Amino acid sequence: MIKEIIKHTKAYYCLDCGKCTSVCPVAAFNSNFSPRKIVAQAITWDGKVLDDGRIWSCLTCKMCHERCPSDVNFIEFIRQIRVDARENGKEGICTHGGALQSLMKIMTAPQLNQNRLGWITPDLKTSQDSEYLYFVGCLPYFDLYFSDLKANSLDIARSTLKVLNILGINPQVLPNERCCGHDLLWSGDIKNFKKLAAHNAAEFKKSGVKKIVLSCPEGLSCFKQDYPNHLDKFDFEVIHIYDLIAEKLSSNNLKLKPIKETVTYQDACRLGRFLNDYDNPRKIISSIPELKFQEMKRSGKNAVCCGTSSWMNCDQYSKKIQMDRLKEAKATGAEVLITSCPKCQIHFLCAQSEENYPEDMKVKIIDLTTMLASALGG
Amino acid sequence: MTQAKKDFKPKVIAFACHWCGVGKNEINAVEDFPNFKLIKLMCSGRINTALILKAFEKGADGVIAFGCPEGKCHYNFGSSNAAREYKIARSLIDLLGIEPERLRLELDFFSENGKLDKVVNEFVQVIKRVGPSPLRTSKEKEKK
Repeated sequence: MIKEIIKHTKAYYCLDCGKCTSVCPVAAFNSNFSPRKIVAQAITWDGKVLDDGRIWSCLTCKMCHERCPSDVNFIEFIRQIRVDARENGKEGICTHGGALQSLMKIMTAPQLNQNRLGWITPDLKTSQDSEYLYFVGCLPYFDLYFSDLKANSLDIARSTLKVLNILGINPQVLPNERCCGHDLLWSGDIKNFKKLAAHNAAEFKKSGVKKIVLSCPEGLSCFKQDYPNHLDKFDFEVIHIYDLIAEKLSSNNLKLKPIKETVTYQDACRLGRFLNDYDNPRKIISSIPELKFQEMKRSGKNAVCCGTSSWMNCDQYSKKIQMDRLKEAKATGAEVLITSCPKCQIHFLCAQSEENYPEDMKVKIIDLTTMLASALGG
Repeated sequence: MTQAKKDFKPKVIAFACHWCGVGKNEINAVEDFPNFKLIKLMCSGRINTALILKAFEKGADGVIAFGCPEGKCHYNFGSSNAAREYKIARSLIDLLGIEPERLRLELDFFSENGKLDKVVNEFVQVIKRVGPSPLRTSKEKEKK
């Protein structure tokens, strides 16, 4: 019911001030898109909003909610509207022909036995009975599917495991964990999201772990904020790898080799605006000797999203957002753009692989954990 | 062999390129296969990872694709596209735990009399040996 959604997300309090539209990264390039108008449409015309294709273009980056003087939870509003729209047979345009959506849906099958541990090299240590679990998520799939972009997403997994080993943790890595379901949740497919969540929770329980370490901000926000809301019981301690590293850095226990580079940092929406972690990544970057850090013009709470979310509705506006953001990164004088989310990395690499992308505008894009692992040697 | 395995009629999806000579006669010959669906495309270059994964997601036990040999594609590069996508799709289903034998690409395929029939029959036998797709068994269990 749209009336319920409006009430629940406080959309009734909308003052029509348009602050949301003025900060929305999509609206900056697509004059047809406006969060304010979508809310107004839902309040005045009720059901019509479900047919509006624009509800699928929202990046759910939370910039609008951050600015709203009436605290209208626009992204939650969009999420629930999408659930309703999906029930009425509507859907967003799946990028990559829907291959990634198919992967997620295939993973809901209970009898699947995945072969997903091939990336663990012999120098990395895991154990069968640790209370820690490293949740790898979709990285093996991204690494393969985006091999033409040379995203090498599994480098993030290997680096995380390496860092964990150095911190004295040999975690369990499960052969049959599934996708966390983040993208299904945000594209309104609650049914399949719940299936994935239930599978994962059962796998965690079976393995006897107490603490779950993640390297992916989307999985992190999903486990921290969404699993407890959608499952009867999810009482695991969810930890981000940056928390563990930052804790160790405070006690000065890590020996880091110098890296001579100028870098800048892209805040991931899920880590920043969703979970309020702006300091840890910066603390890690500044701990690497000789690494020069330059902040982008719009950073922290004002950081712009990487242009696409949930593998959905990637269009010319997404590309414009990415180009704009890369330009901003380049303007800092940095040679390297550090990302914290594997998807930010993939999206920026994709934008740079465009045929007419100017060669002198290219920056190296490296994940923070990968960078730290190389500073730790290797 | 158990009774269930004997009764198993594999669901097979075939994608066939228009130019590699899959004509009406051949289609008629394979239409008798139970649970077999042939989808004609203008070129094997249309086949992508997403289409293949979708077929498995919807419960196919096997997917087979036919195209012209590389270098002899009507549109020059369609077959090479198909070969590239096939490689990615095969690695992806292997990661997912779906047996790679369930996916096959026939690019040296120029339909001669009865050849489609033979290839499909052979493929169906392979799928029969591998058994029902793990996705299909999960779905059927859910229904029960």
